[in-house]
Amino acid sequence: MDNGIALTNLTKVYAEGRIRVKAVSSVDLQIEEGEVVGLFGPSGSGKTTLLSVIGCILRPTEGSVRIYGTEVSSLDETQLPQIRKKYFSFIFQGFNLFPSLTAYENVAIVLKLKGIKGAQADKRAREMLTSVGLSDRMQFLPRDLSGGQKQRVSIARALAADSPIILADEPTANLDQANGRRVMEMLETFAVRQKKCVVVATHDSRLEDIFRRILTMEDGRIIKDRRKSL
Amino acid sequence: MFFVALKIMLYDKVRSFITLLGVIFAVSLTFAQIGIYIGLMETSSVVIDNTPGDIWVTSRNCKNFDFSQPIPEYLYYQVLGTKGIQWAENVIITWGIIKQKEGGTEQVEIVGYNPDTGIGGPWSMKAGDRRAVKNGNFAIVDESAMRRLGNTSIGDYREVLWRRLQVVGISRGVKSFTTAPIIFTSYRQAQRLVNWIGPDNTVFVIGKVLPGWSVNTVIQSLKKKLNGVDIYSKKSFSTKTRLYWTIETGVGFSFLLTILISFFIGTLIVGQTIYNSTVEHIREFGTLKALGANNSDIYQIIFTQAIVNALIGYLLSLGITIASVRIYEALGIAIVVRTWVNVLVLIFTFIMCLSSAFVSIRKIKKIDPAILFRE
Repeated sequence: MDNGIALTNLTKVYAEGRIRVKAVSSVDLQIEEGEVVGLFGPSGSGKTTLLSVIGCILRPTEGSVRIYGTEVSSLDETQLPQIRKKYFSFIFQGFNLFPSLTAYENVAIVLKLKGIKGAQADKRAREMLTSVGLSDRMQFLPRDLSGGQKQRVSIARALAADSPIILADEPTANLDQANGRRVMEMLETFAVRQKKCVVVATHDSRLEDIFRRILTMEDGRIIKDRRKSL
Repeated sequence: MFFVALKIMLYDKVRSFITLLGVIFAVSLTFAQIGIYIGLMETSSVVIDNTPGDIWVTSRNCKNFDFSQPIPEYLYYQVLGTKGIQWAENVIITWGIIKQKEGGTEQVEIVGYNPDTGIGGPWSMKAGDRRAVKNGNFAIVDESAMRRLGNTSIGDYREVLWRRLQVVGISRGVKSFTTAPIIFTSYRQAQRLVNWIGPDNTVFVIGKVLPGWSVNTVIQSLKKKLNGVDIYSKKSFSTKTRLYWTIETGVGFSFLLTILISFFIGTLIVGQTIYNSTVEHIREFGTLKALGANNSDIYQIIFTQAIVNALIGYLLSLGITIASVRIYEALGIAIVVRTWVNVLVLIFTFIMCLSSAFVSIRKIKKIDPAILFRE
């Protein structure tokens, strides 16, 4: 499949000395462009590891990872930053915003990394922050933003980069229920509108209804793959 | 990434201030050490450097300018009669004792020179004429000597080696590395004052080479002709004198050690603060890596911090050093601020700050973006 993510017999084993932990086991999965997928499962089920392998942050132990037709699992380490730059944006549980940069600057820096500069970058950063409802908070530092606002900056950063794939790991874990829901609905709306391939790892089952496709992981395997009828 | 580096520094104001203090401490100390060292060295050879002539004939195994032994005066005629020599002159440098106004004595360095030519005598006069020491018991005192000898004016009488000399001039810019006051008198007077030199001896013979003649060639001729002496070019004798004080007294080692310690402390402080900043921002740097930044993008942030600290720290240190020259001079310490020293210290500052950033570079290299997925 050339438009999206294709995993074939993916396995990831963590080995430390004699201890070997199979975090992901023989996963076959395809996620198409425009799909917003919720990856559910308890702690330790392998959600974060799966996300990390898809995002070319961890290398698989076995199996293949194809991103928009490119086989990435056999690439050299030095080639992975380019793959990430081209295909991926990330949203993290801890937001990971630069505390010394304003909301605007946190978005703009990603654009700079993608090679977008000057007036074009300025326009895009402002548009994204406005679209997530932070037009009046652009010059605020993260310390002056609430948790929900920080996560919205994170979303704006992910969307501004215009990467085809967005991976989010527990994006609502540090937010209250109302804010968490608001942030997820916003992400889902944008992702569908812009035809992004989105995978959200979460253990919050109250958010299930937001996703059109739900994967459930347990002990490193995908045990359920449900698509909601529209 | 330059912008990100600046923002990080402005955000962490206290840390940035401490880093800057570390750089200023190290660089200011280095400026002071180098400046004082050069000042001391220039002082040690100041008479040689300001005396016209190209060649210095000294006693055999002469250690430096201040500690030469008498040599026969006939050597002067031998030097004068050598091909390639335009003129020659005798100069006496020796030690004596001056009686203090309030009682007690002080050691002084006596310079005896030819008042008609001025060779070997003071090159800058604050008051009086350097020819005035001729034909009598006269002396010129350098203004730097006032600290040790008390205020002295033209017309005052001072007893040197139990002989009353009248002060006929105040010179400027003459000091000895030994800090002993320097007194100028005529060459003949110096011979009369110092018994163990006597009427038939001198201490140095200075020669001037004819235009178009090679100094080294003339020196070689003199070495074949003269016995029992050492012969130097002006530059090599000046260097020998400086090296003596640098090496034999341990002064050079002491200054070098202080400079090295400054470098070490500066590197430590800058390295520590940049490293702490890096560790504090490790998740953000990891985020940049996850988003496709290369290590080199992040190195730019680290090195920019180091360079900005180096530049600002250097400029402030230079300002402090220039402002403190007057204070040093008031304390009687010669400190030299020269363009080449400024450039050297700038390079030193950059090396210090950039090398201190390497500890953080190693940390950046090892960042695993997977840490972003762990709380």
